[in-house]
Amino acid sequence: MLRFVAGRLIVVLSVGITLSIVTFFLLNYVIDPAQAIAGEEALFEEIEQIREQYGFDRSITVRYFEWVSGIFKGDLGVSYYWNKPVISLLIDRAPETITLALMSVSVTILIAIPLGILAALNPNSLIDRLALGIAVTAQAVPNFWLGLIMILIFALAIPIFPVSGDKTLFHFVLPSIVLGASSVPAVMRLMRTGLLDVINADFIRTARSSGFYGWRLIFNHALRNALLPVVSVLAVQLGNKFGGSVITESVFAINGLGRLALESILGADIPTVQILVFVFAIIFLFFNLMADILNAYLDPRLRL
Amino acid sequence: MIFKIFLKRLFPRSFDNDIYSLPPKDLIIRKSSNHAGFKFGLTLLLIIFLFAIFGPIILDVSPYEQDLTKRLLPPVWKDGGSWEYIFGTDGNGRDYFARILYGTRISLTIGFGAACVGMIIGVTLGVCAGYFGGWVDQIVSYLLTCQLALPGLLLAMTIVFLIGPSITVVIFVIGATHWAFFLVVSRSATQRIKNLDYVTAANAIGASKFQIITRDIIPNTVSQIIVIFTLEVGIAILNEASLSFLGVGIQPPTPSWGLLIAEGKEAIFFQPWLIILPGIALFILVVSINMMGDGLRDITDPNSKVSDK
Amino acid sequence: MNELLKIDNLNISFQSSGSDLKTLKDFSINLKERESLGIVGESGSGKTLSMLALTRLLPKQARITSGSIIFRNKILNNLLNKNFYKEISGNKISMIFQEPMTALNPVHTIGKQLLDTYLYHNDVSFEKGVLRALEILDAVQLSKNKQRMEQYPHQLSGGQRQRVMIALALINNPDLLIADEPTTALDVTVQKEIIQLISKLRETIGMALIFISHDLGVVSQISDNIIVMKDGEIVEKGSTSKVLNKPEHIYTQKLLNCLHKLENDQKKEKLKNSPIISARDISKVYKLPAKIFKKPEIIHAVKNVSFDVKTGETLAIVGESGSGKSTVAKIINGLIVKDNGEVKIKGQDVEDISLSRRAKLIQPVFQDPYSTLNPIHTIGYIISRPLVINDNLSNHNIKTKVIEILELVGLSEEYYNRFPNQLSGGQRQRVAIARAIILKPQILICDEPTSALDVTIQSQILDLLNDLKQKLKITIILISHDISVVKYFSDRIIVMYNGQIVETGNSEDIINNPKETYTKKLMSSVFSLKQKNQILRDNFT
Repeated sequence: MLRFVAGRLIVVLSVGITLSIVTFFLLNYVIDPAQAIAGEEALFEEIEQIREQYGFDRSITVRYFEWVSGIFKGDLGVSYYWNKPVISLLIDRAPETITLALMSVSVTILIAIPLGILAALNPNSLIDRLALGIAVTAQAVPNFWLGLIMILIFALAIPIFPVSGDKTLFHFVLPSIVLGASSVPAVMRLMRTGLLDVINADFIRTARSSGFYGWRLIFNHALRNALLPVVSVLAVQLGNKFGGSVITESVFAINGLGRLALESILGADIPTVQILVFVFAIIFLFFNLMADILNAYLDPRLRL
Repeated sequence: MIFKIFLKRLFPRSFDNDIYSLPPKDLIIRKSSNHAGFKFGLTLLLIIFLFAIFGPIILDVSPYEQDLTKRLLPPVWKDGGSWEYIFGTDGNGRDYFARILYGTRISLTIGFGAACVGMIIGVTLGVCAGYFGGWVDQIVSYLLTCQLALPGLLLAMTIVFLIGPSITVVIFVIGATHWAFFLVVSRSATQRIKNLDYVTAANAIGASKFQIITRDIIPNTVSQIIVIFTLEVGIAILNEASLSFLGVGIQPPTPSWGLLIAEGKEAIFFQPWLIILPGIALFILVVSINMMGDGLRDITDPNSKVSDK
Repeated sequence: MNELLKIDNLNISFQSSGSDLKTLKDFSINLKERESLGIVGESGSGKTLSMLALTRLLPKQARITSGSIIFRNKILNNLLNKNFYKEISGNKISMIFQEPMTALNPVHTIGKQLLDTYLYHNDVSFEKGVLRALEILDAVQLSKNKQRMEQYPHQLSGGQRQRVMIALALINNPDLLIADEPTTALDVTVQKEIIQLISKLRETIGMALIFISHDLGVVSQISDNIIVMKDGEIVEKGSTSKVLNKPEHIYTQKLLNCLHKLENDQKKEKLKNSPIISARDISKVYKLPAKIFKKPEIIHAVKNVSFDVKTGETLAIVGESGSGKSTVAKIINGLIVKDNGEVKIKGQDVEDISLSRRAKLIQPVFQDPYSTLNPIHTIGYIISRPLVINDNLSNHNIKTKVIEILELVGLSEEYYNRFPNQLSGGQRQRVAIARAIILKPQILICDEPTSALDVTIQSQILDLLNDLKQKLKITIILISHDISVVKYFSDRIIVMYNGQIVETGNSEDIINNPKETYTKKLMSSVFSLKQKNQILRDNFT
């Protein structure tokens, strides 16, 4: 167990380092950061001045190591756009995004899992077709558009939930539905095909030949096997929600990390953007690691 | 990795232990003519294609021509609408129908273009990793983890915004951040196929590695790659729309659907059709592609039973 | 004795493409208490289907169209599902299946699975259930039964899992046990133990047994009466001795002929030729990739194996799955890089021979007729490919040659443009042989060439190989786990176990006078019809 976790941590660490190099070089070498700050129409002298002021005239490797050593000391740099330390921006904005991520995964679970189970138990029935319809629809609806339509409906027709802002948990209901809906098709299909596979498995035939049938057969003998992969995929989905928060947060005017990212990009705020890319990547890797551990814990075949 | 388990469930056929390949041609034809979803998706997609290619030529409308005296005209089914502007006009007095029609071209170009870029990267890496194994495989797996970990949308936004947005840039950026599915599927298919007896037999009759890869392995992965391809076209189209919506994709005045929605957002409560119409267009296009993809998955799956009706 | 089970004119059809496909026609049997009945047939003969109908495990597309099933004077057809599952299934009638690897739930312990079944049908306390589970594990001769209760299926071997399956089926003391090919997926030496176990438990519990198998030899060991099925119909019915000695139906006769032919020794000439292949100290180690929570495992597939193959002889390498025999074959063929040792073909190291020359010297034929041909290529392309790669011939010449070879392996020109999935298993194997011999190689390595085929097809393919051997004077290396095939075919035998050679010698010596313990065990596990006849005859006199 320890060996495995240690091995995975090394992978996470090395991927993290690679990604920090990639993002840093992309944002500092491929693009001229001084030009980006100064804007399109800036004069040559202005750009040169900015270059000196921010220290962009020094070699890129030096700046990279400065940046990395800063991260280890807890200094994530200072945002040009907000004129604040990046770390305080993150601390300010993180709670909104964490709330949104948790609530949207709950939405996914509440819709996708029951629907997937029902569809698998009645293949080709009305409910199966309905579930498939929901999956196809949810897969094809652009997230931001769904958000706007929700705003349209809930602002005008049924004003029960607030459509903008992040003051109370109620404000998070609509954004969570929108963000959660994007994972419904995948999780639902996974649940459905997983359970169908299990139902057709030899060991279910064994259980049937031992006299088990109906709900008892499903709950005692099939469900746990089918839920194994779903649980770990949900953990991964939770990690994905952070990166996915960009659109939802900007549509519903939630001041979270996603909106911060968009605003920083539009403001050419490279220190903030590179930290955010890195943080989202680490969050993803962390949840993946959790999912792997969870999967191995739940499945005796993967245990030692 | 979890990602693989996930894919395994969604595309069981790419991983199962039965010998797979395309079922015989007549069976494929019979299955596809019996698959309602596939037929529906394909027909719809063909119609959209025809519209995108010939619509602008036949209808002779311009998506750029402004007429400020005719701003925000309602569509034909609303009070005050006229047949001259079926979908009304936007805030600059441009024909909204023409803009949506031209937007189809943008979406299709970027969708297929980006999926092609992703496919070339993913399949090349996947086949190499699967066939050669060892350190090649480890490096590719490492690249895969990196790609999955990077917040694709965020990175794409940043790069497109900073490099300067154009259709080509958007195609390459979306393609370069969407090859994981291709890689995992082609890698595991290759791993399975290379251990099959016919590959060993090809080895025994003196076929070269290149011949084995091009004649024996890749042709047998095609059916699975096509399924992933259609899926990725849909994803790329939605991605482009998101980028444009956020203002970091296609730039005005080019009529991308995402951009149209962003422009219409300001007037959401007054002229809701400005966001509803391009959204529906996006939805129909992506649904038709996904239905075709789902259909292809069923059709090429030798274990699936398409019911006769 | 009282009648236990009576099935009358059972018909089952499959619904496909709108029309009903009759897959079981007028199936009728009578089974007395404690009787043991064997059902023999090839794949697709309906032998399993009939029993699935009895246990209500039929696939969804299958439908019982007519017929009645009477068990202990109770008509089972009309019984509600609820009552059937609660009273009959797993309680009075139990079933065990072919695949022990997948038949147990991987996420539950053995103990939980046994207890679930016992407590479901019996209203007793948990403690009593545990006692019963331990008792039944003891009865199926599974050692360390207390530990077993805590273990998961993946921690047991195939034979052990099949014992657990039997325990699961017998925990409620059923009146009837249905065993569907329970030994087919197991190694031969384990097979015999399982058959003996089932036989013994039948006596002690006093239950009836229906034993389904494709192997007449196995069935004849355990059954009082035998039913032979073909294409959904019963073609022969009778006591075991009658079916074996006086078969009435032509199909049964054919089946028996195939088996007898394999049992009769051929006259074999002793060869004193020079070796064409010499293998010295070859070794191969496989590293299994590290799994989550598991260290990478190292498997010594082949350890220091040395032998010679003489020109023109047929050498058989015999062993159970995992004995390393296939790895040896691939190393000799140059298809796997060995770790140690050397293989010389005609004095030249196999790894130094050019691809093209190697292709003309030595060719393989594989076991699985479904994966041996690339499904996207036509038969013509598949057979001509060796010529296209290695010889510079005109298209016309190639086609003529391919058609010649097609005819040589017993297929006609019309197969040229067909695809593999339009061919049957036997036909595919013929194509694979055609591909292997078109370059006129001097050595043919046949890796279990017939074990995936039905018995009647098996003997046809063996005849073909024999024929080719005479005509083309090929040296053949035959890899097999099936002693009867080896006996029929080979001049010399190498016995392998755990990656090492256990014994080498002439066929007759090895088969009739094995010296090593393992070889003895292997030879005694062959179910020959003769032995059974012997036993029966002994009983009569």
